Amino acid sequence: MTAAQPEVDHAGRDVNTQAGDVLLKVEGAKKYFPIKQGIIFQKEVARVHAVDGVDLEVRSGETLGLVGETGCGKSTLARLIAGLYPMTAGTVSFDGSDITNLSRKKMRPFRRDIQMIFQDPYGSLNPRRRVGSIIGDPFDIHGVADGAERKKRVQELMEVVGLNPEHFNRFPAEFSGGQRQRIGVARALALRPKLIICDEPVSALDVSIQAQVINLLDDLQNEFGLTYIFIAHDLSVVRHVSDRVAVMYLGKIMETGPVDDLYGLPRHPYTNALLSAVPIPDPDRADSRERIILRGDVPSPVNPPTGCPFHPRCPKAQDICVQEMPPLEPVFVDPPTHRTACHFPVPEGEDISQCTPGIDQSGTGPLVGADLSAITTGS
Amino acid sequence: MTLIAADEVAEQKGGGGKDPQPTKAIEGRAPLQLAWARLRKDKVSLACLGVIVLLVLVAIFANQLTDLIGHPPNEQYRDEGLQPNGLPVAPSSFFWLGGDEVGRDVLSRIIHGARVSLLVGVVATAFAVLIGVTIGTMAGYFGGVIDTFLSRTMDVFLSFPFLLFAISLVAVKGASLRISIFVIAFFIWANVGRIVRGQVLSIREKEYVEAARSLGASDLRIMVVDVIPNLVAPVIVYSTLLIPTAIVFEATLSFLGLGVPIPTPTWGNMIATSQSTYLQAPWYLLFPSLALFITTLAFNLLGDGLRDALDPRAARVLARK
Amino acid sequence: MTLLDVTDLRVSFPTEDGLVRAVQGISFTLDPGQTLGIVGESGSGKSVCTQTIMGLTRGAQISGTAMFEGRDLLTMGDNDLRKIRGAEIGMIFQDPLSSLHPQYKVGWQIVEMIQAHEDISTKAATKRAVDLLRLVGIPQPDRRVDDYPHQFSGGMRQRAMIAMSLALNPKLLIADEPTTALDVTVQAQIIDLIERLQAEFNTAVIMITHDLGVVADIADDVMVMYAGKPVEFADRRTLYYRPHHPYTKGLIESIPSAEGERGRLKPIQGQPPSLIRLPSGCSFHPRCPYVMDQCVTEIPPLRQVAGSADHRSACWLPVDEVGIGGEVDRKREQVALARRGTLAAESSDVIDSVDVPDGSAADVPADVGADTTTRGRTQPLASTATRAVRARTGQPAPPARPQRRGATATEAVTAAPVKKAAPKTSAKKAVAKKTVASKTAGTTAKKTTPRRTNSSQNGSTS
Ligand SMILES: Nc1ncnc2c1ncn2[C@@H]1O[C@H](COP(=O)(O)OP(=O)(O)OP(=O)(O)O)[C@@H](O)[C@H]1O
Ligand SMILES: Nc1ncnc2c1ncn2[C@@H]1O[C@H](COP(=O)(O)OP(=O)(O)O)[C@@H](O)[C@H]1O
Ligand code: SF4
Ligand code: SF4
Ligand SMILES: [Mg+2]
Ligand SMILES: [Mg+2]
Repeated sequence: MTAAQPEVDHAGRDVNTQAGDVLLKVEGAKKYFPIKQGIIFQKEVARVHAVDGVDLEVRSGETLGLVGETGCGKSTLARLIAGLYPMTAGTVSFDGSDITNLSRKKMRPFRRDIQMIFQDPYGSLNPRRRVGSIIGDPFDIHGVADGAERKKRVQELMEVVGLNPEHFNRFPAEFSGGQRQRIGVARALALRPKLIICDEPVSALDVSIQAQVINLLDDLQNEFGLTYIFIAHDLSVVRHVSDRVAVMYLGKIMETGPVDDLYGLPRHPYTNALLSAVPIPDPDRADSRERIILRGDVPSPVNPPTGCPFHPRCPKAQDICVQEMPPLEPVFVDPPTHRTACHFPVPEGEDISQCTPGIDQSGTGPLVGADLSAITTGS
Repeated sequence: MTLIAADEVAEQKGGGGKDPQPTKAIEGRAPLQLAWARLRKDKVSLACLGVIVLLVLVAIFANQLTDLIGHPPNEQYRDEGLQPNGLPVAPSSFFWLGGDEVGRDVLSRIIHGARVSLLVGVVATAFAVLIGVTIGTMAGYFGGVIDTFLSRTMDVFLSFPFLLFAISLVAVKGASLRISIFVIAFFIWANVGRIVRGQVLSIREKEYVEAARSLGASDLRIMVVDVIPNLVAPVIVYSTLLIPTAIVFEATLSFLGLGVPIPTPTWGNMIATSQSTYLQAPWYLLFPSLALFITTLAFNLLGDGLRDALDPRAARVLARK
Repeated sequence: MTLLDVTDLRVSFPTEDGLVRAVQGISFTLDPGQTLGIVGESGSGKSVCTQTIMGLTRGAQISGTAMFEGRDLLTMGDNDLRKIRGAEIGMIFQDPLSSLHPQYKVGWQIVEMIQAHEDISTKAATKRAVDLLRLVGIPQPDRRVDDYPHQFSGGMRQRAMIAMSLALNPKLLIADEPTTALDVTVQAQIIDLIERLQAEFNTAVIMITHDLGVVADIADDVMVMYAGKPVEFADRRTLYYRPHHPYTKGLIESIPSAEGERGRLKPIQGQPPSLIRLPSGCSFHPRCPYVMDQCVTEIPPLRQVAGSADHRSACWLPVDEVGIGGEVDRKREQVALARRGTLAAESSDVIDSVDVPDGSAADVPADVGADTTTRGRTQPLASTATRAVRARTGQPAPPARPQRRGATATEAVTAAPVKKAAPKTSAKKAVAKKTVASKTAGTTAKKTTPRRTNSSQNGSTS
């Protein structure tokens, strides 16, 4: 992330050659949540397809950005990797060992290496406990340090994340959102993990505070050689922090690739729409670009669409999209690192807002604002 | 211009801006401390707290107090305490709150009755809270089959016919203080359990619980370290409201002769025996009832005050409306 | 004609922790078809400001005026206000969950709302409701009108809310973070809809957001708020390309660049202050990289600066230091260094000690800060009038006390030629206004009241 040498990532490795070893490998990950009904005997009546067949690789020292809209399964995937939910199908391997559905006991050593930072700076710290004891939790649970030693290390951590070490006796309520997020970072950092999964670490923060936390995460990565999975729905933030990006939609990965390839030449219609929808904080550029307006909302993951899950909203959808899920693979001249799951990927220069779908999408919802007559009939 | 200059002085004085004291003053203040600070501003709750403290003192020093009055609770003053026609005497300088049907001092008996009422109220509630928190936490935390089973059990307890059970138990075991406490705790714990379960259901979904899990904490640790401390506020409020319920339960049992056996004075059995003479000796009915009423009211009002103090947001919303 | 003219709006809430001064002196005008963007961090008073205009803040102490088509919304009776709310002014709330009644069908709520303002049959109203739901992109609207809010997804609820607020073709639409809870693709739909609406019906819009991107997209003018006060006001191009206030500049610099440059971000240091205990002088001074002694002691007025005709900023830096980056930043630094004394040097230590957020400071008494004193005697309208007269008659402004402020006034007059923001004011007037503003800066510079010179003149001339 150093501006001076764009060819070299924060761990000092050459981005282009992807020198890092594979630290985490996820294959065919699926997580379905049963929806149950009944008072005494609960019957499964449906399933939420939260994560629906995800393959992922994270190399050591890199930051993998995970973007997607609400409910597309980012957090669920993060929790699967952290071993907080049992998987419905698929495998996760970390540092060469298979950690899929390990028992609590067998998982314990891996918990030190995989840590999480949560989205909600208010919800992720127990309001009834002092900050010192919250940050000291990892030491306590893993029996690493006690008494004065623990206090010393907690204060060191507070210093590292930019908190006043004298505040270790305070309660979370006495800190602001940004500071609480720093407490969360300190807790995640305590056991010197290899991988930190940041689940929307800055989404709940104000813009001016977001940058503080992003910089902090950046510094820590440099200092401790951390690997991040960085989840966010803000595409500019993801672009800023990530080396590689994966775009999710309804539990599946739609497109993945090195950050500049993906933002520079988005191949998937959904990625195109997503990028075109991001508000640009620059009036001239905002005026000159063309927004792609999609129909409707993200469909419910209880009954995801057949074939390509994006077909009900995709401007390029054809019959085959309804029947077959396209494989995630390089398209056109893309390098093998840039993969897209689409039957009709977007060639360079195509404006997909001009495309018309070859299937009936009226069930998805009318185009917003197509007919203003409902308003005129008034007053 | 002079005006502006004067203002500037005021501004400089008023807006020091970096006065370090307030920061220091609130350093490390526990949520409960803050609640206490808020409660102190609530006059009604303070008054109720005063009443309750007074009651507790009366109960503790009941013997000393009645010694001071000079009338032990079970001493029958056949001469001074009864009218010639055998009816109780009215309040007088001898019996401040009058006498009862066998010539005992109503004041002394109320003082000793406070002992039973508070003892039963507090101990039964404590048991109920202990059981309720344990069962409720387990039901809420583990969910699934365990929750279904425990929740249904609580439902069963809540729909049990209280008096029938009490009567049959007393018939088998005989009336005693212990049986009273047991019966009452047996019937109110499920209320606590339900409330706790509801709270735990929402606490369980909090990210800090997830964080603890991701660190590898055991279920027991999570329950003890992360869940139960967050139950303190609702449980304090709820037990404050439960104590008067237990006290009334006890009075009911005593009233029906199922509670603490006579001649131990309780407010319940005093009210019961006063029934036969209430037209001639209304004070005998009035004063024990008043004691019961004031106690219940004090606990209930304090409970409401505590709720507001422990959940400042709710209080503010109310204040705004 | 001006649609909405808000003058020196102040709102505070008495709480047990002290007086929360949520809004301290906001003035703006809005013409039909115009979009005003209000940006600021959470808790900066954006929602309180618009909710007060709509008569929705209970238990608040309110002062100022909000003239909507010549009638003051703040003093209006409940009945009159209800007639305006919904029909003339539509409102989209931040939280779509709380704004629809959970017990009634969505369609019924829209019908109810239409019938409350218009004499129309239920059948016709229902048809309108269906059309409205279609307009906002709800699939199968003829079926979904009979759904309850909980059967709608979050995005659909927000759409339904928008349908409701548009139903009566309001002249003014207040959108309080309408898209914060939504995904970007849905956000794009909503913004697109609002833009079409404006084009078609000349609806005026107040768009509250914390997303600088949204504002850059659709606002004409932008007001930046900090700790309850407007700190900068300008048309969007001026605001983004030539900001004056260090807070605005900081906000713009702290977001990752759209080009994906990967350098370090430039965050604003520190935390927003508690509205109960505001820092002295400029509320931003504990976080400001350019803090000077004056900033610690005196509250900067909202005054004309050099970005454009209608560009105002509440900062003690010279009025012509507008812009972002290299040269301007260096100049700002030089000025700040030259004027920095012990007070300012100390103030940067504050960052660590003002970190107690709102609410936790439960028992800290509200301190009787500079602001209270100032506010007590400020008569914004009267003083504006006096100043205007003084400017026109050429009467010399009273000598400015501190040397610096005299200098500031001169700088304002000689400010760079201005690009006109909106076609409402003539160039001549702009110059006149600028003189007024600079005089103002010189004379009564320390009042908190933003100068209303510009907006009030706009109001009367357009
Ligand atoms: N009814 C109230 N009583 C007391 N304080 C209030 C009340 N309503 C709002 N406030 C306070 O007023 C300030 C401004 O609130 P407001 O909701 O306008 O912020 P905002 O800029 O919209 O923030 P957000 O982006 O979080 O919605 C906050 O400090 C808030 O706590
Ligand atoms: N415990 C759960 N039970 C049922 N459904 C769940 C659960 N957790 C998540 N989901 C559902 O899974 C989908 C993906 O959720 P999530 O991963 O949290 O989305 P994101 O983080 O991308 O917003 C959503 O539809 C959500 O409602
Ligand atoms: S073109 Fe077909 S496969 Fe590609 S995104 Fe659209 S619907 Fe999916
Ligand atoms: S007035 Fe001073 S402290 Fe405030 S923004 Fe301007 S330079 Fe910074
Ligand atoms: Mg999530
Ligand atoms: Mg708001």
